[in-house]
Amino acid sequence: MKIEVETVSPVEKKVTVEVDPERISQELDKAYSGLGRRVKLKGFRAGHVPRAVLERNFRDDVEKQVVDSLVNASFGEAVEQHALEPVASPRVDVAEPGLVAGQPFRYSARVEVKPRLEPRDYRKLEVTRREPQVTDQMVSDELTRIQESLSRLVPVEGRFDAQLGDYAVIDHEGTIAGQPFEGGKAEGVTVKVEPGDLTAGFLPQLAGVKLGDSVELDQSFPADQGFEPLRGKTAHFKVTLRELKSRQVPALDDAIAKEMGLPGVETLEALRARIREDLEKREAQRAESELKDAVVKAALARNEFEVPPAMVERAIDVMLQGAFSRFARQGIDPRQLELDVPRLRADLREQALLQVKGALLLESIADAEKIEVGEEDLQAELARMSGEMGIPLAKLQQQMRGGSARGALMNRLREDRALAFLTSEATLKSQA
Amino acid sequence: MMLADQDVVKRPLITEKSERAREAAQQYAFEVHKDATKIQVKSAVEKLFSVHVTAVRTSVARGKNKRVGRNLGRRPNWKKAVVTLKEGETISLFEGA
Repeated sequence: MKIEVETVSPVEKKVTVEVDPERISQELDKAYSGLGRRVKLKGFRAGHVPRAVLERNFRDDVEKQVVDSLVNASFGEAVEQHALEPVASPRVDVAEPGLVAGQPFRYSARVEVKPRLEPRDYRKLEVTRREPQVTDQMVSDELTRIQESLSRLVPVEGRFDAQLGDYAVIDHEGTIAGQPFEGGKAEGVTVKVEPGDLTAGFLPQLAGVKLGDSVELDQSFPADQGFEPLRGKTAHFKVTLRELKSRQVPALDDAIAKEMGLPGVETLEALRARIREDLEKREAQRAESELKDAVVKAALARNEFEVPPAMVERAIDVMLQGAFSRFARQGIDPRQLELDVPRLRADLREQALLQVKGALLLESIADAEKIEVGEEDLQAELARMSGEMGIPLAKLQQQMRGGSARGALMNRLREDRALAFLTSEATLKSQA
Repeated sequence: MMLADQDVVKRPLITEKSERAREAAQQYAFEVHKDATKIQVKSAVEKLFSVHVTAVRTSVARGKNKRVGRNLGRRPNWKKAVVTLKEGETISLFEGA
């Protein structure tokens, strides 16, 4: 067997393979004898079908199968001999005349490979570090959010006409040019009596209306209205006020802290402290990941290289899959969202490219710096993950027995190490 | 009785036995019309496949008794013809492609 490897580009190789005639006839013999044992033909006992009859009936299938197996086997050998690192399946082009007994079989395959990088200038990167900061303002914003989320609508007492700022429960009946339309009639809808648009749930026209009274109003809808029958039309609504409610925001006191139901948080002070603590943790994490991003970007800025498109596409796949499974966990069916997948992919491409480039560069730096990850590192990481995710260590170890999951984790650890190395070597500038 | 050539020769028989006879003695087996004579078979095969036939042997295969549930049935009898060709001639229908 002859194997030639040409470099088309840093990320693509062309492999030309010539398989010897002997090997072909061997493979053909094997295929036919296997087939002869399996196949049942009328007029022949199982296993007694002559080769000639088999050839007459199954030649195309068998040859296709032999070509596939020859290509698979010989491509595997080519990959091993020339230490290629393919990142996608090869595009195979069988040369004329294909598979003919007694003649060598030639094919060429183009395959995307992992580029070999010579990382340079990755020490002394200049990176700005943002110090995590939690201000009193942030804490009180968070408290306000909690207050809002705990607020309730309570019926207004002692007043019978709507005022701006009220919430109103209404019945409405809508018509277009005198005709009722689908969805135009509803009862018990809650709207807010405040300047704004009906479509967003605001109905200022109710101000001054008494309970039980009705107002009539016209509402025109834009041409891009989501509900098709209303597009570009003007509808006439008769609105009857049924109930008035006002929003009651709970006061900031110890009661609100208790209502949160967090263990150990009984007073407002404790709640504040807890919020601050959480925010600090979150900010620190954010600053950390921003720093990592910045380090990778800085390193990439000094290293220009090409990336195999297949790797980028795969990274996009992974991202989309992650997003879909997040949706699924929230009980949303992604198919119902009618996502524009091609556009989503295009939007994610840049991010994916950065991710792939970063991973490739970190890997090459790990190679250059002889950063290795051993079994004990893996175990330590598993122990950490088990604590963090609340999964028993034994179960994680079980999952990691499979080769690919284990390899992926090893890779991630190695990347993390390389990144930590880069960060420790970098010149950090602090920024408040 | 007048039979068209295509009606005389119904189908080739390709079985272990016929394959062996073909390889060993250029004998080709067909299912033929039940009322066809050896002479009719000879001329039909010669015309249809442009070959020379040196001998024809026929036999009537008895239909098998078959039972479907409690109904007894019988497959029809049929005639088999084994045709020997002149040295060196073949019928491509049997040889494939």
